[in-house]
Amino acid sequence: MRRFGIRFALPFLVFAAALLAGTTARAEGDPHKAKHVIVIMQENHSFDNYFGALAYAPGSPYHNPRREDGDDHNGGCRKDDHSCVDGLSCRVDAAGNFTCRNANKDDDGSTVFAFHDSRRCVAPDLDHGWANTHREANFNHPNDTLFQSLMDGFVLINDKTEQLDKGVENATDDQTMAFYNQNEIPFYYDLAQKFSVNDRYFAPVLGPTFPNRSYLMAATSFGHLTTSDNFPPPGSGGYKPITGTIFDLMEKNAVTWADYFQDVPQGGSFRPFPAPIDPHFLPLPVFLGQIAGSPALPPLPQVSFVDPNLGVLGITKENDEHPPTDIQRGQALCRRL
Amino acid sequence: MSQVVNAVRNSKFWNDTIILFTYDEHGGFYDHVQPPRARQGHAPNPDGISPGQCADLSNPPTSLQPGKGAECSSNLLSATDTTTKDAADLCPQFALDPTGPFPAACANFDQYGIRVPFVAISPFSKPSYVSHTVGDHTSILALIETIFMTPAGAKHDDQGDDEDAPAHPHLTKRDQNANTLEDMFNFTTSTSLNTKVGVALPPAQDCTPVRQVSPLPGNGSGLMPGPILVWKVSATSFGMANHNRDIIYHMKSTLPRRVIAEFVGTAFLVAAVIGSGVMAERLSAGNVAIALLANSIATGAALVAIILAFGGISGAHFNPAVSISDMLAGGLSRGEAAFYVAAQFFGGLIGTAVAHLMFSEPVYSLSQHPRHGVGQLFSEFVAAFGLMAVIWGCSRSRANMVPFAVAAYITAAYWFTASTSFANPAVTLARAFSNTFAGIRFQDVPGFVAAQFGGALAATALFRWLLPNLAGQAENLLMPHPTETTEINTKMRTYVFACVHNAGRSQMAAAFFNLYAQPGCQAISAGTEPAGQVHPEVVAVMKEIGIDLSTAKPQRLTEEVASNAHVLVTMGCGEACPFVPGLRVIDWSLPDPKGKALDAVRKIRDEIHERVKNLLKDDCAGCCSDLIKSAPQVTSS
Repeated sequence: MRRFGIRFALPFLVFAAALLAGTTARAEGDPHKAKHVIVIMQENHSFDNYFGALAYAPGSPYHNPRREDGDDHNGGCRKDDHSCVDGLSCRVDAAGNFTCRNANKDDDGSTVFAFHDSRRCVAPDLDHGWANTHREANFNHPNDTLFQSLMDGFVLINDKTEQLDKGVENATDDQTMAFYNQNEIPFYYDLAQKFSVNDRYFAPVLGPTFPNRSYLMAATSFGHLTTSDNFPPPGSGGYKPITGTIFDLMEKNAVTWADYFQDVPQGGSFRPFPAPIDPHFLPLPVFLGQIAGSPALPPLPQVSFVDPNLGVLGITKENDEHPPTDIQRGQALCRRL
Repeated sequence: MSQVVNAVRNSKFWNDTIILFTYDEHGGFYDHVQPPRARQGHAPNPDGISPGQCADLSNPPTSLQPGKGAECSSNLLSATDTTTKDAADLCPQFALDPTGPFPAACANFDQYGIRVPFVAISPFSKPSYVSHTVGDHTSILALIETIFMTPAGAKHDDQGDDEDAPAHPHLTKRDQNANTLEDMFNFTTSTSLNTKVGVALPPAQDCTPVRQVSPLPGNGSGLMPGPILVWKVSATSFGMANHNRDIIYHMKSTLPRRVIAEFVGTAFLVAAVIGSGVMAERLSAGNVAIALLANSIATGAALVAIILAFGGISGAHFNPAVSISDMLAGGLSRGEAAFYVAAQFFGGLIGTAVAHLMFSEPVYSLSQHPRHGVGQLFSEFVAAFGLMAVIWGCSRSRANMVPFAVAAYITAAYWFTASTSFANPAVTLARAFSNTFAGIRFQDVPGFVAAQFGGALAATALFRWLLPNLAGQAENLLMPHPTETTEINTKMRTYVFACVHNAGRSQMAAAFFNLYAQPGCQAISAGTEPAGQVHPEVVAVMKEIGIDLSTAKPQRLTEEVASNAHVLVTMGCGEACPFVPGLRVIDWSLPDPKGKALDAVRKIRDEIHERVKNLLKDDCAGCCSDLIKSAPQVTSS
């Protein structure tokens, strides 16, 4: 019933927003009403891979960009249409089968279209290094991604590196073009349809895990491009970016924080770990105990980073959704604890 | 995700909490949206440091110079500097002069990466709302800096471009200019305060067996390649650990604790049922109604107490019908269920003895109390059906009320069923050995037990249909309880050498390491797809220098052993190496000796030998023996 209400109210909201021409949607009220922020950052999925089919979920409150509404298929949704989500351009038949227009070229000149994948185990760990992510964004001119990104190198790069072209491939062999929907990740689809989602949220750099996670913690990767570095650097108790980390800044401003981990804390790149352990690094059960209001534990800090099991100590408990783990393990994160 | 979100949603913290849920990067998956240009997207180079010119304060003063950062070029451990190599791979001009100004024609840190999912789960979230405001991970920082580091009520800059508003504290240009993504929220009215969240399905697949590693080096960031294997070169390498400086966390199963909790809890339950029955019978002067009233009240009260006491440990099943139902719904594995059920039956029998000893009765006595007939059997079916329905229904919406609901139901069922509601196979069997008020004739037990299982399973089947997410709550039956716990252990300093087949490079490296390492340090070698045996050409060239690998066999390493790793050395995975905070990762670019001519294999062997020696010299940490200083020169013969 709620969704129908939203749909009914939407034209009015859009109209009201249009009246306030020129203003981007701002927060209503004072953000200081929030007393706790919890950041959960999982591993290795693009927006289209997870939410490209969000508008096609049965009963979805969202729709794809519509030409007749003035939406620009290249530029996405109209800025004031907040029930529009910029996903994949597909047709869905009555049986739920997808036919999508988004595509990449294969090395033999054939076209690989985005396809719905019900295999929750992605066999290869697809290529997302600094150099090849730039090539995925602009295959012929990877240093010019800033000027033009055709997003045309995903199939070509992965066929060369991580999911070798077997010669004759069928339509679902190039898993970089795969996407999931409510069948594979129902929990995320439920959250994305009930709460608020952003379709213009990007990773900070065209590269792999460490530089991107470093932006979450330090707003820079201070030159680093790879994940095969030393973490932390030898003998120093962590990297010390010249501009500091959010951990330093929170402490300076008396903001309480913790980094809850399962195998290793992501903050271990910047603070001593494994020994001596920074007191802000706490095992995940402590978080669950604090949430449950356990009197034996200190109160829940203002800012919490809840890290997945990154598979560092063996992949059998990995739940960060990093291929090739079962993506549903991430949905169930910590259920196993 | 599911448990974290549900825990917050159902806690007192929900009213004022924002959960931000996102992904670090795209993982190589396609996305159709161009990463915005700097001007459009507020993605300036954060601090003027360019790709491959790492600079930080962890190793001053050299780190402050471009190209001299702790990892970028003064890395003692890694044979190749991966960051500089990646920068040069994309930007050949950079390779010519890595310490000079970064070529303007090359890609820099002034552009976002590929689009990733971002969901804000909060009572303040605008419901069913899609924001199109451009953001990245530094938007999270800008939001944290705004909420917690600026005065309440003050005008602030939500778009990173408002010159009138005082800036929030920031680290670099990125978080200074980032949008705070505030448009996703309504802080005036908590419009999503009452929105329910679902429960995730349990993991249904284990992807481990299909894990593949590309035979060609790629640029992905793989994680530590799969199952690994242990091999010992000599007894001394597994000698007494002589330095336990390093603390590691690892997860341990709580199954033994849970099983003991089930055992003790069921014993207490049966002791309460039989004990209160004896006491009631003795005090009621033959008034069976009064006796049953006392018996039922005591049982219900005891149930509340022991479920509360043991629920957080084992879930407080105390009932094989409950455990089997939970197993069928996916909450317990078959093995766990077998232990639970055994503990419950055994605990029940002990409970009988305890009650009898308290009341100076014989330890066991076969009951003469007949309980049979269609009415009684049907009663047991109904009683167990109702019990399971109460458990499934309440554990979904009111988990903390389950102890009271179960106890209330059992107390009532004493009175509305013809059988006085045993509803529990373990308790039924235990009561057969008690010739007291609560007893049941032994020959009536099988019928009762069958009816109880039938009722419980029927209720489970019904609720699987009523609640499609039943499996999601099965692990938390009757109450949330941990199935694993975190413990801190001190261990030997462990180096893990990993390659694909663990039949060549990693075997040789581990052998050399263990040859030179001090007791208390050990090498473990690893392969994602362990071969059947060590490659014969590798065995041959190692034999030439007196190391016998002919009996070494690639095996899989248990997680227990893998969790001891202090240093991970990867070979042949190129850039496809893990993000491993806290664990030192070294990548050695080495060819695979498999099928190569002996001369080529010798070269690889000697290269590995040198690298292991250098590794030990540079990263001694108490591991390098005197031998390393006088190591014999190994040459190709």
